[in-house]
Amino acid sequence: MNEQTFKIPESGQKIIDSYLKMVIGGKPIICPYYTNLKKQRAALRVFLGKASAQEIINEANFVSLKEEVDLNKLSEQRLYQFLVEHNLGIDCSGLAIYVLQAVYQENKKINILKKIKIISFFRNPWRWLIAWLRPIENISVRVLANDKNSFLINDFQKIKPDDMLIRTDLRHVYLITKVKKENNQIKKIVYVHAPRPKQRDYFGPGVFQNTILLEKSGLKELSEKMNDEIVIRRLKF
Amino acid sequence: MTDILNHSILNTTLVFVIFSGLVAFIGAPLLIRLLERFKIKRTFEVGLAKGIGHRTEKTGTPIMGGLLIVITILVVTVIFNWDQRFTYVPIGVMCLAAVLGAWDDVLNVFGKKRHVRSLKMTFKLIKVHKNILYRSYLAITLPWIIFRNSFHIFSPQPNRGVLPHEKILLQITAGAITAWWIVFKLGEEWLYVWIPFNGEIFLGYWMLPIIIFIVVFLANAVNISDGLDGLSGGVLISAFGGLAILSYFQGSLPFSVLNATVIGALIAYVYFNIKPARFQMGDVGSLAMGSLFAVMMLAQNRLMLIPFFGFIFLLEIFSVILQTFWRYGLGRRLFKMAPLHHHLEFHGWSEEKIVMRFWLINSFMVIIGLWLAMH
Repeated sequence: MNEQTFKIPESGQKIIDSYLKMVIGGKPIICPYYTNLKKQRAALRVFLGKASAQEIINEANFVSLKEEVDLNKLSEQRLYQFLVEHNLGIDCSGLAIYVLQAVYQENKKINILKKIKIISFFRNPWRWLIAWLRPIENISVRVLANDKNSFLINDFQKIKPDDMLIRTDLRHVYLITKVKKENNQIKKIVYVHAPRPKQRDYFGPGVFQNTILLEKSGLKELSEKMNDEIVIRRLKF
Repeated sequence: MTDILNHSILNTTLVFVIFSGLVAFIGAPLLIRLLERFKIKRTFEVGLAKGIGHRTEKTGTPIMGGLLIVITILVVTVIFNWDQRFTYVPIGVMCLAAVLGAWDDVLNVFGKKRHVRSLKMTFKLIKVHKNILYRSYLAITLPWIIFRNSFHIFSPQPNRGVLPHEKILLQITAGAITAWWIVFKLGEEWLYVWIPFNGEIFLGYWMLPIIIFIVVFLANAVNISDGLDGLSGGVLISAFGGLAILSYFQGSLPFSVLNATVIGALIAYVYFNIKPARFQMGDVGSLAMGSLFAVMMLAQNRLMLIPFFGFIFLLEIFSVILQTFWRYGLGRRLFKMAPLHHHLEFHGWSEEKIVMRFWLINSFMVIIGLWLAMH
């Protein structure tokens, strides 16, 4: 049997691990989920669900100093609550863009933040300037799924690590990190994502790395197993 | 003849350093007692500053210690060095800034918390308020509200004191008075700016905005630097020391005496302000000293030496400006906390280490500035 495994480069996995193994208050925790539903503007990106793991750790420490909270004394559950209540976490596109940035930097020496087209200057110069200054905060799933930035993969057998699985309603992105093929048929896919919690007051992990085992090796089966309507897209760069 | 004159200036300068120092040393314990009696004390820490371990120890320290410097300079100058041509403007501007600072300090201690309505809320009210007259009023005053709110990005946690937009307007007024006096009252020679290695250039009425900007900028720079015990006082000693040497070389007795008076008052102030501080400068001192420093640099026609004589002040204010740009423009923090001295504290530098190093750096820069002044 001909087995092949493809995975994202080490730098990309390091970024994922930084969100999965954040040490705050002496405890290793998984980064919680936070997205900017309140549509706050001009805030620090760490409060918008678009920060790196290190920025989230630093900000958690700052906030704890400011509010005189000893993070070492908090239980894991309380620690999650502390982070979520202070808007500290990551959203799906934030996670995807940090990982993709590391992957493209290592593989192709490209800074994708400079390549991704967010908004046209002629459409709205002010928004263009803001997006130019703060690209990560302005890259949403919709931007990633735009034809100017990515293209659709129709042949399921051609998918590879760093491809994106985008929900058809453009509200969520999964990032493929590992693909295992047997006789040129995809049999296993590992992906990472930061899904929005279904409960309102959810205080827990927000980043997940899941594995899907495939038998028929097709998009339909993948969608069924993920319980989501998805398409596969790859960045153009 | 020059030697005799200079010897006389040097002698008088030293006498005034000693005299004003003695006056301030005598006044300091009285001032501390008064401030404690009227409970003019630091009552709280704002924002992240609370997170720096030892800063809670500063709560309860009397503020408005800058009154010692301001009163000493005012009394000594009015009695011994009152000269319409040379000392009216510096002292006038210093007093104006001191009144503004004192107002801020008093409101910070005794005033009520003040809130500023956000721009978003104002827009909402313009749309939905039931009273059409109030909606029109809000719409008409919108430019003012935008102006007011835009200054709050530099001070995101407004408290009891004078609000940033009020402060900036009053500082611009002080700057405008200085500019008017210098440009229209003191004659054409004040419209020239000295350039190292290049002589002088004539700026004409461009001096007006330049003077306003420099007064406002330096007043705020000193104000921002006044965050650690002994920091701004010590740096001001080296800055005014440089100015005193400069005025000695320029052969200007009134300026020499004025600078000497400032140095004497600052020595006494720093004696009581080094850690653990018996009192803190407060806005009354920092705004006054910043404005006076700006006016003296202008009066002695050494505008170009501000980056050297006030190196630490510029470093501190630029750290705040850059942090603000990074925060609002790029969504990140450049420093763990601004101004720079707080960033260094977060990095584990002790207060004493930061203060001593900043004193030394500024003294070194003053020496470079003096060397440049000779060319």
